[in-house]
Order: sequence, then structure tokens, then C-alpha cells
Amino acid sequence: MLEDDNIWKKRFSDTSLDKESWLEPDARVLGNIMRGIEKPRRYSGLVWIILLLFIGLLISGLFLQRNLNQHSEKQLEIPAGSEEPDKIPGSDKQSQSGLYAENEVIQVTSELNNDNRKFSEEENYTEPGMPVVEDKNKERSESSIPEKIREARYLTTASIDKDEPTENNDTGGEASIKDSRYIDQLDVIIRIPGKEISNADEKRAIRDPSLSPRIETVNFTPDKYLAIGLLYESWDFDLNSNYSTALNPADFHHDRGKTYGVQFAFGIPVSQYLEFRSSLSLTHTEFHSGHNSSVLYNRGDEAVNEMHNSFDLTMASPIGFLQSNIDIQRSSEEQAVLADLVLDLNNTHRLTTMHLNSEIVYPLIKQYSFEIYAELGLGFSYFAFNSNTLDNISINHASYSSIGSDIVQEPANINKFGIFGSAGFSLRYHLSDIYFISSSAKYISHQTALFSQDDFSTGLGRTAFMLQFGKKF
Amino acid sequence: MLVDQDVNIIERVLQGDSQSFELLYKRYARFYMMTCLRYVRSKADAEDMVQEACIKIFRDLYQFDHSKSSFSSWSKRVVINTCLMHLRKKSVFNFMDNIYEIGHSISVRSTAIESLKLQDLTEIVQSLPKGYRTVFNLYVIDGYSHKEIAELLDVSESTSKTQLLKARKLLQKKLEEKDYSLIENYA
Repeated sequence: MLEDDNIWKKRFSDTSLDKESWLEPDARVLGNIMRGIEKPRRYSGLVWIILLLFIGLLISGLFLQRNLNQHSEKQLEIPAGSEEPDKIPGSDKQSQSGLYAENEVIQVTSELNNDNRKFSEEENYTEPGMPVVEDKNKERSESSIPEKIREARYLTTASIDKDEPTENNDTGGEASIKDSRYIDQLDVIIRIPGKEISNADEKRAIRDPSLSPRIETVNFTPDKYLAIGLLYESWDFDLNSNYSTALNPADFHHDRGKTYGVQFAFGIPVSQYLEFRSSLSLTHTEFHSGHNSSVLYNRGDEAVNEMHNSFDLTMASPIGFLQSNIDIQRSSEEQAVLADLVLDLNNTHRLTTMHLNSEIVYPLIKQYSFEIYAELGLGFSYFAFNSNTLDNISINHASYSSIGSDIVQEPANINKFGIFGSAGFSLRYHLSDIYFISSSAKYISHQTALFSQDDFSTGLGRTAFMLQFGKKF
Repeated sequence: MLVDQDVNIIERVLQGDSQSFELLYKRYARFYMMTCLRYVRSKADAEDMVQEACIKIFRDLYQFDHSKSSFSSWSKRVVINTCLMHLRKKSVFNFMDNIYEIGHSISVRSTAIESLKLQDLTEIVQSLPKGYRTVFNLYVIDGYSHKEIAELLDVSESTSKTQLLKARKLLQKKLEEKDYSLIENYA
């Protein structure tokens, strides 16, 4: 026995096989190998996120810069001899005692597209509750104005100062403008005469189209809010090269995961231009996979007077290996003792997952009631449950058929916790000063493998779309 | 001398000259093919295995220590592991102890093993049922112990021994048939 073993070993251990032309691999093998070893390294998901963030910031920077240039140019077109260019005519009428709201400063913008447009005496202040514009920088000389004009920005910061002493909180109070100048990047105090008003009232008044130049709330100072929404995600399973190469010979295939879920979000401002948002999502994902598997059907294994055999099979999936039991029946016409059968196995997989995400939200563009935000986040997922079904089995031999199957062991190597990074954009539309709807799209890259076993692993990338309804408070 | 040549080529590859890997491939491609063909039946599958194994060898080349083993034996283990991975995914390890028993036992004819062409011997090994073939290759030709085989294939040691015993019996029968046919041809 041992002697024969040595002969076997010797025959197959000779590396000088120059005469054995039947062992020569096809030329494509070498080509594939050389392409494989020179394949550039794939960028990790984190790199893509950073790249997306960079692109987002670049776009927003370019956008803001373009507007800055446009408005600066417009301001520079002011005729040198224009009438009291640093003063809003008619404002003197308002330089009387005023009634101011209390202790609240909101940010407003001034769109500087009408350089010499004047406040109309009748237009601006005939109705109660309209704002009065006040320049805090009294000391500025007229000679300094051109410099300031050059510095004018699209998003001019102004404030409504309610911290001034109030003479009368009833309607009929008077407001005063201490000084009026160009509405540029100066701090402008907008006082609401006549009554103590809410933040919402102020914004509504400021948006009044009869007011010229148009002053609009920036609203880039974020509000606290709660939101609830629906989400759809497309999951991309990224099998590592070892795993995919190992499964290729079995014609392994899988589709993208389709995910539906709900999301609850909570947002709070962290600075003038940043918002922190935390969200919890509950999702259900479904996807399919399949591959071939070969079994050796042996008549000798059949029970007496039975014509079927049972097979324990290992099945591969993007989330790991499953164990199944398949019962295969032989037709009475088939008399072969042994038969090599190829089974085509198709599975459906379902995952229930929770995602907790923390994001920094940065405003990019505001136009009317629409706002576009860039979002960058980190979070973790908990893959709570998975269920799998063997949907379909087809056999390459007509004399054999599947008469039953069962999943006897679910994938055991799913990493229950996953860490991910996310980047994307959202569009927010303010239905009112309290309610808004938002839609967002983002890419989420998991930094931990969804499944890993030995040198096999599956990464996960998620493309998410959300629709939310929110309430500010 | 061959070992020295291997080491020189490997050093060049490790220094970033990936084109030199082609030299290693040309030197060992047939050896790898022969190894793979003992585990899988079709040449196409064997080529796929060689391709995958060579990429693994390239990526893990920095782990190779020529002071501990030769490149041929180190790389052969990579090739074997690749084949086993392939077989595992195809669920070939449905070891069936009740496969038909060979009703007769003949003494192994060493002369047949020595006299047959390598291609014929390979075909005989390939003709074994997959479970038998895998254990026979691992134990007899590639030098794994039953304990190692049990771990590799996730079976018990006794299963490995049983499979080997049955593989030997089946091989005896096939060698006998082959030998008789050769004798008839010569006659």
C-alpha cells in the first residue's frame, strides 16, 4: 500500500512536464492572470464619500462665489452722483419712537439687485407689522461706502433686534430708523412696529413682496425639527475577489437588494450654517441569488422500494453560506447506478435592519422656499433578522426531479453590526414656517463587511432615496 | 539551480516587476494544471483554478519564504487550496458511505501505475467520484494527513479514512481494467 502511494506521489510530483502538451493551459489564462495582477486597487467607500463631499463643497463654493461676483458688480454700477446713495429715502418718517419685539435676533438676507431703488413711503410702512430697517454702523463715513459696496455679498446678514426697550407693546407704536444706508453686508436691524410678533410673523412680513428691496429670511440658520419619512434603498453587494472568483465556476449570480423602510429624524442647529441630524431607520430588504451545484446521485442510497435520495447541500449567497436539504426523485426509466447531476439553485433572502445615522447638514443653495443641503454622516447598522427560502431547483437531467427542499441552516457569518459613512444631498421645501417636506439622495458605504468568513467577504453599498415630512419647533 | 532561478524571479516580482511573473507562470503552468486536473474533471475548470491560484500566488508572494520551502511546494498548496475552495462551493463533499461497494479486492499493481502514461493516470483519478478523488489526492499525492483532510473538508477523520479506502478499491478496479485493455492491445 505504502509503496503504491509513493509511486502515485512520484508520478504526480514531477515538475518537468515539457513533454506533456495536453497540460498546457489556454493562452487566455495567462492574459487573464496578467490583467488580474495589474488591476488597480479599488477605491474604498470612504474615499468615494470624501470625494463626494469635496465635489459638493466645491459646487457650493462656486455657486456662492458666482453670486458674490454678480452682486458686487451690480453695486459698483451705482452712479457717483446719485441722490443720497447711502440713505433710504423716506426712512426719516420712521425715525420715531418704535415698539420692538423682545430678545430675538433672526437672520435676514438682502438681495442687492436694485441698487438705487428706494423704499416707498406709502408702500413700506402703511401696514402695521412691517419691518423697519436700521443700520447699526452709524459711524461709517460716506467715503467708506464704495469699499463696503465691493464687499457686498449676496447673502447679506441682517438681524431683527427685539432687545430694544419697548415703549408700547400695543399696536400703533412707532418704529424708528436711526440711519439708513446701502443694504450690504452691514448689520441691519429690522424692527417690527406695532406689536410683539412671532418669529414666523417676522419672516412672513419680511417676505412681503411689496417691500423693496426684497428682504428675505436666510433660514440657513437651521431650526430644530422632527421628521418622519419613507425610504427606498438599492443595496449593492460587493463580493471580494476571493469570494467572487470562487463562486464564478458555479455560475453564481445575485441581484441588488431592494429595500423599503421608514425613518425618524431629529435635527438641531449647531451653528449658523450647520445642522446636526440624527435618524433611525427600520428597513426590510429582499434580494435573490443562485448558483449551480453538483451532486452524485447513487441508486445504492435509495431506501427499499423508494426512488429518491436526500442531499445536504451548501449554498452560497452574498450574505454567506446556507445549508439546505434537497430531496431528488429518480424516474423509474432511469437505471444508471450513478449519475452526476447539476442543480440550479435559486434563493430569496430577506433582511430586517436598523440604521442609526448621525449627519452634519450644510446648506448649499436657497431659492424661495426651496433649500438644497449637503449631508455627511456616520452611523451603524444592526442586521436584526434574516430569512431565506429556496425558491426554485432545476436539474439538468430529465429523469431526476426535485420533490422537496428545506433550508436547514441560515447564514451564520453575517456581521450583525456594521459601521457606515454617508454622503448626499437633500432638497427641502417649506410648506409653511412650521412644516416642510424634504427629499434626499445619498450614497452609504459600509466600512465593515456584511459577511465575512475566512478569506471570503461581502461589502455593502447603499443608494438611498428618502421623502420626509417635518415639523419645526 | 531551478530554485535559485525561482528566487531571482520572485525578487524581481516583489520589486514591482509584475511582468516577471509571466516567467514563473510559464515555468509552473503545466504543473499547476496537472494538480488541478486531479481535483476537477474538466480542463476548463482546471484552467479557471490555475488562473485564480496564480493571482493568489502573486498577491501572497511576499509571504513566501524560500528558506522554509521551495516555491513549487508552496505554490502547489495555494493551488490545492484554490481547488478545494472551488469544490466546496460546488458542494461536492456529500460523502456518501453507502456508495456501491466494490465486490472484489485485487492487490494493487504497482507496475500499472508506473507504466501508464501520466495522462491516463490523471484520467483514472478524474474518474473517481468527487469525494473519493479529493481525499485520495490530498492524502496519497499531496501528503495531507487524515486530520488535516478532516479539517479542510469539514468531515470526520473516520470519514476521510473510509473515503480513502473506497477510493483505493475503486482505483484498483480501474487500474485492472486499464491494464487488461493494455494487455489486449499488445496481444
